[in-house]
Parts: sequence; C-alpha cells; structure tokens
Amino acid sequence: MSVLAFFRRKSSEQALEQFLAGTERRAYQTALLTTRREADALDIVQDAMLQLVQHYRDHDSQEWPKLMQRILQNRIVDWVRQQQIQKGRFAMVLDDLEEDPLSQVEDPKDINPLSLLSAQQDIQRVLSALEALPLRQRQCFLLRAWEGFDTQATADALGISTGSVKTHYSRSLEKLTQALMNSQPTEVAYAI
Amino acid sequence: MPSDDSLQSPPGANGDALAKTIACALDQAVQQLPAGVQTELATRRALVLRQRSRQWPLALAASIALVCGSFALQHISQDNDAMALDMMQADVELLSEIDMLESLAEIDET
Repeated sequence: MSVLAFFRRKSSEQALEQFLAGTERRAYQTALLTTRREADALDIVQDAMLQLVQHYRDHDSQEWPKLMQRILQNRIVDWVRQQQIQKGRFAMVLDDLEEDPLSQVEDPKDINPLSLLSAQQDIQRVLSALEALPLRQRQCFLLRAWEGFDTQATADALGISTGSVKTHYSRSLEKLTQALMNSQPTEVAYAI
Repeated sequence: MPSDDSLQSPPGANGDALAKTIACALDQAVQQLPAGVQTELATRRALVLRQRSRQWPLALAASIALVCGSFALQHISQDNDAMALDMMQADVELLSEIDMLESLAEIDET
C-alpha cells in the first residue's frame, strides 16, 4: 500500500466517523419512533452503522446519507417483521399499504394545525402522533419532511414506487393533522 | 423541503407548514436526547469503527501466512528435485555396477 493510499484511507475513515457522529442521533430517533424501546433502537442504529461501514465505506461520501437511510429503513422493517413473527401474526401490516388512498384524502386547507402546534409546543404530542402512523407512512414522512429527501430518493430508500411515496406522504400529513388536532398533551415513557 | 409533489400531494401550504413544524419538533427531540443515550450511541459507533479497523491485522496476518506458505512450498519442491537427482544418480551407479558384474561374469565363463 502506498503512503498516499494510506493517508487517503485514513482521511476517508475520519470522514466516515464524522458522518456517523452527525447521523446517529437522528437515526436513533427514527428507529425509536417505531420500536418505542431504547435498546432495540440502539441495536438497529448500530447494525445500520456496521453495514454502512462494512459494505459502503468506499462509496462516494455524498452517497452515504441515502445509503444510511436505506439500510436503516430496511432494518426497521426487519424489526417490525420479527415482532410480527414473535407475536404469531404472520399477516404483515405492510401488505395493506399499497392501496390507493387518494380518493379518501381530504384537503386540509381549511384547518390550521400550525397554530395548534405553535400554541402548545409539545414535542411529545408530535412524537406520539408520528408513532401512531402506519410504518410506511411514517417512513415516507420522515424521509420527505425531516431528511429532506425528494420523492425519487425516498422511493429508492424504501424500495417502493414514487406513486406510493406520494400516497403515503399525503396520508401521513392527513393523519398527523387529525392526530394533532384531536390529541391532548400526554407523557410518553419509553421502555428501556 | 420537498417540492416535487404534484397530483398526489394534498397538503398545500398548510401541509408544508405542518411538515416543517413537525421536523423542527423532531430536531428538538434529537437535541434533547438523554445523555445516556448519546453516550451509548458514541460507544457503539466507536465499536463499529473498531470492528472494521480490526480487520486489517487479520488481512496482514493472512498475507504473511500466504507468503510464508509459498516460500515453504518452494523450498519443499527444491528438496524434492534434489532427492530425485540423488536417486537418479544412485540408479545410474547401480546399473553401471550391474553391467560391470555381468561383464565380469562373462569373462569368468570364457
């Protein structure tokens, strides 16, 4: 190995560590919204980080955020499936997510959820509303609204079509609006 | 913020504002993660990176073992060549002795 290659590799390792340090907390929060258990969320994040390091460390660093999200979302889906199997229910919640819900989506222009949130500033209510979403809707919402992914990148990360992404995203917004309008401030305790 | 939704995007301005507000709430939630969780995440990150970096000594050891093995094989094959040469020489000497004994026997008969 030449000296130049050694230093290039060292620099890449530092960049990777910085990337992981900047990503891990958001990834943890994303996983926690599904698992609601700290230990499971930590395991998912660690597994995602390990897969990224082992398989994609040599990719362009610009690709890491999308790769990380793809791995993370796959691990979350795996976790949900494991839970379903452990509970003895093999009928997956994912199966009924592909129907077209557009005809049922109401136009929320006549409501103002922003004022509701700004009045209460209750993070726990937001987290509870997100937890209550179906898995695919939560994934689409988090990738689109929080991670800033466009429709295509979200579809790539989740392995679904862009049409499904749009559908799930619009459904999630509708449900979040309703949930935040109807919910009362609550305390959410995560199991450790 | 996403902006490429067209037909299937229902939210409009309120939807985008809601999404932004929720994203801000999530950012705040991340900032407020317990110190224990942040420490655990940092520990696991270090573990992941160490696991990866632990692989290079293994690769180095495997390379050294490979080189040593190839040298040993080469040495063994050289030994084999020498042994075969010795055997050939012994065979030649034996044959020449047999020839000599045969010729001596012929002389005795005559």
